[in-house]
Amino acid sequence: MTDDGPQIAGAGEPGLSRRDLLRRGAAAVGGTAAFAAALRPLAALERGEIPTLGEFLQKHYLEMSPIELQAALDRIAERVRARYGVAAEVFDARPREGVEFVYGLDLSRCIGCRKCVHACVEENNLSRTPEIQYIRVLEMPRGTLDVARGDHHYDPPAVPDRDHYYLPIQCHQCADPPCVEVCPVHATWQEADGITVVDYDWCIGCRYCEAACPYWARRFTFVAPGIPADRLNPRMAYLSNRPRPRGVVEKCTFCLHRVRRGELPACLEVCPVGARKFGNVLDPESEVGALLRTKRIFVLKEEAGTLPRFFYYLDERYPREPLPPPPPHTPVADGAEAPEESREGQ
Amino acid sequence: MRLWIAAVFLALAGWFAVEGVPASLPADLGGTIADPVPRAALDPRPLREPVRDPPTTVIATLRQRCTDCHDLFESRPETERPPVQHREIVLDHGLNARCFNCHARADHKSLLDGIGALIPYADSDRSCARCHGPTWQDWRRGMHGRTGGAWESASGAQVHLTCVQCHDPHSPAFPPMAPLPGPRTLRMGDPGERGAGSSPAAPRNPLEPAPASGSGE
Repeated sequence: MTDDGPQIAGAGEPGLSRRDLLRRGAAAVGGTAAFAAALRPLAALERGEIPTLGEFLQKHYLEMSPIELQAALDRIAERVRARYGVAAEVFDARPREGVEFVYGLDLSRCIGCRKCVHACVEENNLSRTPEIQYIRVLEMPRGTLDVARGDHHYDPPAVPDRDHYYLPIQCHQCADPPCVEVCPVHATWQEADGITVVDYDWCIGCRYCEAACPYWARRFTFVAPGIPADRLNPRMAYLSNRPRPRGVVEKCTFCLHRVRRGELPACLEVCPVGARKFGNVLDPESEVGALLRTKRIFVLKEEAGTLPRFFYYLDERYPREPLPPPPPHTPVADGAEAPEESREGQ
Repeated sequence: MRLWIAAVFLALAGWFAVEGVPASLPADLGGTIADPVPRAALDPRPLREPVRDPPTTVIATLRQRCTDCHDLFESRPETERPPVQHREIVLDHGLNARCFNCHARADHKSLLDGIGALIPYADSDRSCARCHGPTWQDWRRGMHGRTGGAWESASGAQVHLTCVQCHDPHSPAFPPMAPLPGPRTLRMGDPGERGAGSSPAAPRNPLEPAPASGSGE
């Protein structure tokens, strides 16, 4: 093969020394064994989990042509039909020009009934066994915002409890999302209308984003989602509520498949007290625009600097139940009683 | 000298082969999928059915118009509760404890608005606005109360529920309700962790099916 370089005569065929043979042989055997061991998890795949060639060669969502995307949607529909026996409408919903979604939540109205949590599970085809929920509702002692004192597992016979308020937390759709920044494969990104989405077929399941999120809003599918076939929501979008494979990260998308078609998120629609408000912040006439102008607004963990698109506000003008009587007032002047002035009502 | 690399590979391969890959991640938990929340609990329809025009009420299992009686009989003075009729109405509306603050005494198919003009029951929010002006202003801009339909009028019909679709006008405080079941998810801890009084349950692996005795099916 090479002309230059000294060659020992007659060393072409039997030139492999004993040492070389052992070395290369050991390397070959070791390498093959290691390769086989590395592939071993594939043997644990369920039959339905083995990707087809089309799925294996599928591109990133943002790089797919319309034809490729349609083929991907058809493949998803076929998977859903095979697994759940449901004819699903799988579609792709794109952001609209001049729309930026913002979510507001009225802490003085929320009664902690958890209807939003379960409406979200229902709408977004979240796993029931094991449970995955996008929304967390914390029961918080009145007078503090320290989430460490919140309780997920409150279970009184009736809510609200007069000593607590309720703090629902979900994805805040940050304008500067740390979860997007840490993704090593760009499987998650922020869309033009402010919704951060995940391409479940591109996610490698490293869970960096889950660690980076200051709001604890991302969930990992340790196993394939357990969804009763009769509770599957057949209206599903590529980027939001199609059934997730196992080993990927998922998150709240403000019900992207609904809001990009003009509807309201499922958590908002089910809220019995109307504590949730949603709309386009670029539209000055919108409800959220009016809220941002007129209410006392705050965002959770403002110091994290992620510029959330989810804000909380307070609306209450008088307590739900009468406050305990004030401590006795010591008059400063003689005989001058504090005037009994009613501040109740509007 | 690169033999040690092969040795490491070989050792790893042997270890994987013996130990096996983590087999504790089942593809599917199998069995029945628990779904403790019935669909009916997630019905987004309004909580109350408001009184429609012409207003009616049920008396002795018969639905009657208000005017059926009140056109014949004059109403009692508003300082008195009627001794027989309307006993089912619990008036718990704060300082507003008189029927004819909102109802028109002269015309029982109407309500009163802020200047005492007669309004139909369909416009009952204007009656509420007499006292709850700021809340009514918020409601008109969609900032108070439940909404449905589309998030902007350009993409569909917007639904704004009226006051009486959530609040009972005679007892307007929003009624407490039982919360839906709490989380049993991976990262929110175990329900046994809460409360000082309850004994802490053994930590449960959510990836394993729940023990039949522990969690109610």
